[in-house]
Amino acid sequence: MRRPPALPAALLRRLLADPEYVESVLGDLEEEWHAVAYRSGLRSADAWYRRHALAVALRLALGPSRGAVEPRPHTFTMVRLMQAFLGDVRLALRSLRRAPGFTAAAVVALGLGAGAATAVFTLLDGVVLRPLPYADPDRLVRLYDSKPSDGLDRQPLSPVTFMDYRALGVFSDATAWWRPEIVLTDAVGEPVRASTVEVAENFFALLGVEPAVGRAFPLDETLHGSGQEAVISHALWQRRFGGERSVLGTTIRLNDGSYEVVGVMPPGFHFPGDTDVWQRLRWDLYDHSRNAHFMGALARLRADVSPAVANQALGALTARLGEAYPASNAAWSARAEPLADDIVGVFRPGLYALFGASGLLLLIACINVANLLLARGAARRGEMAVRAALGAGRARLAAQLLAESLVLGVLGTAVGFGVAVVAVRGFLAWSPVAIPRADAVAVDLGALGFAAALAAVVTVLFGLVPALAASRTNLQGILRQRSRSASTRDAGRSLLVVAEVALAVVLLAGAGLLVRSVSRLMAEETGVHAPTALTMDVQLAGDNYPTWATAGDFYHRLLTNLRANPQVTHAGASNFLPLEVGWPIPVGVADNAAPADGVAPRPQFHTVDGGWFEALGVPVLAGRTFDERDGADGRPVVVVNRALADRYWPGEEALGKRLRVVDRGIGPLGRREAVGDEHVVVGVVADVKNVDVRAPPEPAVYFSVRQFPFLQMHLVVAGPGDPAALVATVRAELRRLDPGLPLGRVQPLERVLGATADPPRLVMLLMGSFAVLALLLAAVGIYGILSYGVTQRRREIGIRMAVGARPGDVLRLVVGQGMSMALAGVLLGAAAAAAAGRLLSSLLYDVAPGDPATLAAVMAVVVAVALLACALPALRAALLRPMQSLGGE
Amino acid sequence: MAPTLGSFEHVILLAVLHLGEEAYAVSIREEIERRTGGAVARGAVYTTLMRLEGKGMLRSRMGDPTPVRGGRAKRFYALSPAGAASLREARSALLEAWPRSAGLLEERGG
Repeated sequence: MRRPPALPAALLRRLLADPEYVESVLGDLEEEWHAVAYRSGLRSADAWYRRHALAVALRLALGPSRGAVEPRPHTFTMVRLMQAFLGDVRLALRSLRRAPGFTAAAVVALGLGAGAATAVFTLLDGVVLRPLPYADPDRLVRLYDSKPSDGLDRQPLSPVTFMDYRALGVFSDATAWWRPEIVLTDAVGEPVRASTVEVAENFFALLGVEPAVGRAFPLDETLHGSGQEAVISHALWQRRFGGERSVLGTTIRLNDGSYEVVGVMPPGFHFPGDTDVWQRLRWDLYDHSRNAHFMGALARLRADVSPAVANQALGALTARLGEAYPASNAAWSARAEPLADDIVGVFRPGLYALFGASGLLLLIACINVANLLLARGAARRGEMAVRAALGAGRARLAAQLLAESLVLGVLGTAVGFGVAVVAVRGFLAWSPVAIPRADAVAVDLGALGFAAALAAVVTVLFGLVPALAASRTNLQGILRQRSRSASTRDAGRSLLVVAEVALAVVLLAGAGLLVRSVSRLMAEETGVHAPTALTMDVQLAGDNYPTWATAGDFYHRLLTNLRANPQVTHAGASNFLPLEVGWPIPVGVADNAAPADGVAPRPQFHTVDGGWFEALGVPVLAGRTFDERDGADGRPVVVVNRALADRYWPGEEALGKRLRVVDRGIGPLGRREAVGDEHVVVGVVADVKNVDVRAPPEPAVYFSVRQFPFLQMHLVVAGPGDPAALVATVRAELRRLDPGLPLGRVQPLERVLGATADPPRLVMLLMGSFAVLALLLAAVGIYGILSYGVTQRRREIGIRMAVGARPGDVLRLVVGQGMSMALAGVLLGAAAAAAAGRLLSSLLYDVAPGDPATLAAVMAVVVAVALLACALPALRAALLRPMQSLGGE
Repeated sequence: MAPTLGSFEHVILLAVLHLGEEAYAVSIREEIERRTGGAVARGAVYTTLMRLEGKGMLRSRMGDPTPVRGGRAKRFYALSPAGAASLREARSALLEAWPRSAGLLEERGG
């Protein structure tokens, strides 16, 4: 059942002591919420609830506490203190209102700093810090296979090997799934593609999450059963079945048959990835090949076992398996990786780095405001002296100034909170990167608490020193300082500016390093040259295409039609996109001596159609690609990549060589390749990276889609028109061949190829904007202190000019003062940046953390900006007329 | 003599009296709104109920949880003997005061 918003309830619970009382109030509110929802709909009910729950909470918090009607003792002292404090705050508000420029500058600076910090905190909290929503999530580990000798890392498991891992004893249990990519059709409406996994029966129990409605799968010793059952996600239930309980027991059609819906998971549960349908496993995990790596797996560590111990045990086991089954398991090893690392691991260093960066930005903002306050304090020496003369003690003066800082701090963080709300929302909507758990990210009570703590900290940071400094004023000092050209206080302000510049350099250097690594990642050659192509997924429903020949024929006809369409310039299909690892399958190299170590080579298997290489812009180096000859009944042929030709037949002609199937076949769609079947190499193509953009290409064998078909293929299509028209064209061609077939996910090919650079790019964009802000604030700091200095020193400058100094001398004087601060800051900052760069090292690619070129560029930028910041005050000083400035005194 | 009643306290005690077994914050507020025709702040109802219970004029007990309240119980209120005595006193004080004052009000005109 829908419930009212949770936030006000949390607030009430926090404000009031008596839990039973709070629950009765919440019950009242929820009851009325239902009534409002019935009358005016959920949206207005939620708004109603927020407004009234908040009003009630405030009233109850300010009113008599439950059970205590008598006024509490010590009220009088507290009231007096409160009144004094409120008086100070009122005074502060008045005095800030009289200086709107100063107030706005301070609030904006603090708001940007606090906003950045709160926004990053919110992201960090929602994505990384918050525990995963599963039972005892710290003990959950993902299991991966790897084979470093073939460049294979984080690979899925073979079901048979998985059962060996599961029996290992370091886990209390383990579960596995695979993703058959399925079309969901049912009586409800249009067929849709639902993200589906087929899971072992203990899947939900292992995660410790039960269906919100209905039941999970029954548990068998063998983890599979014969019942065609499915559990669906809460989102799918709402979207497609209107949230009706009657969905239980209904039948949905997935492409390989009918399934009874037995349960609905709680909202937000989509593990693994974005799954909407979980099918019950219907085949025996033991009854498969050790060579077929396609199962995802998750295990729960026993309470007394650490991940390191589990990994040792897995290492010993995989070594034993490698000896027992050399043909399939040699050189493979396995790894258990904490689930939290697996899901958010790539974002963790980035978000921590950003958190540090936003802290630096906030620090710069505080320094800026402290500087403003010091300048203001200097200008208000007269006012302070008068107040002191009227009998205000030092403590009173300091308290008044602190109240002013507190008002600024609270205003600044309030603005920052607003900035954070907008920034987080905008960022999640705009982000080019899919962020895990993004739906859980929201600016909430935790963020509010964080912002409040920030307000307190920044107030002390920027307020205390100026308050103490200003309250030290006395009448004699005022008279003395009037004639002094520079005071010790100005030296303090200069130091603050130096610190500001140094921090800005650190931030800029971090951003610069990221820019360099991202641009190197993006420039990394993938082997693909198809800047405008789109990728689209197509998934055939198995019961419409029962034999492999019909599936292969469908794709052949679809692509032939597409290529004949004037709206299409190139079209091709493959079961793996570039940068994806194909099926590693052992082959015998017929025309070559047996490999030295006796283990069959294991190139990646890809299935493509003849247009694939052209659509990707991959040149054919020798021979041909697939054409009309290579049908289901034709001679079995393959195309290989250059890496394979170079490795297996170095210095020889690859065309005409033969590859032999040596393993019990793992052909798709019931087609079993017989051991000994031979495929002739008819073409060699240039390499396309097929592991990772950062790794060299591995040997790959390409099969024709008509000889080795798959139900799911990725199309790559390019056309002369705009992308929307192209998608419409493909959709129309699909419909002509199979009216019930939906088109799956569409995305630009460039997006797929650039995905590796996403996490560092994300951090780069944010840190870059922080760095620009920091540089601006530092420039404002330099400008502020110089122009204040010029105003203070008008008299001195006037005298200098009167005795013969030329405008150029004055210009040099002021610029020299500014640049000495800037240069000190730049040098300090460069040293700090060289040290801090190491914190970013996990995000860097092909750039050293202390990269001198980056540092030099950053230093040059900062010096240039500092010069600009000096220019205005310096020009103003140089253009002073001696008589005017002396007359001003 | 029982403590004197504020006017909103008076109204709330009357509503509790009328509602009998069914008096809890929501029904009390609705009852008052129905009788006075004006809007009543929920927070005021809660604080006043709390204060009256603190003064010993109301007693409360928890009912059974219901699904429409998210599985939460209602807090039912009932007049205590002291509350009933206060209401009675307030009533007689008003009745005594009015006959002497009604004529004066008329003289001032509408």
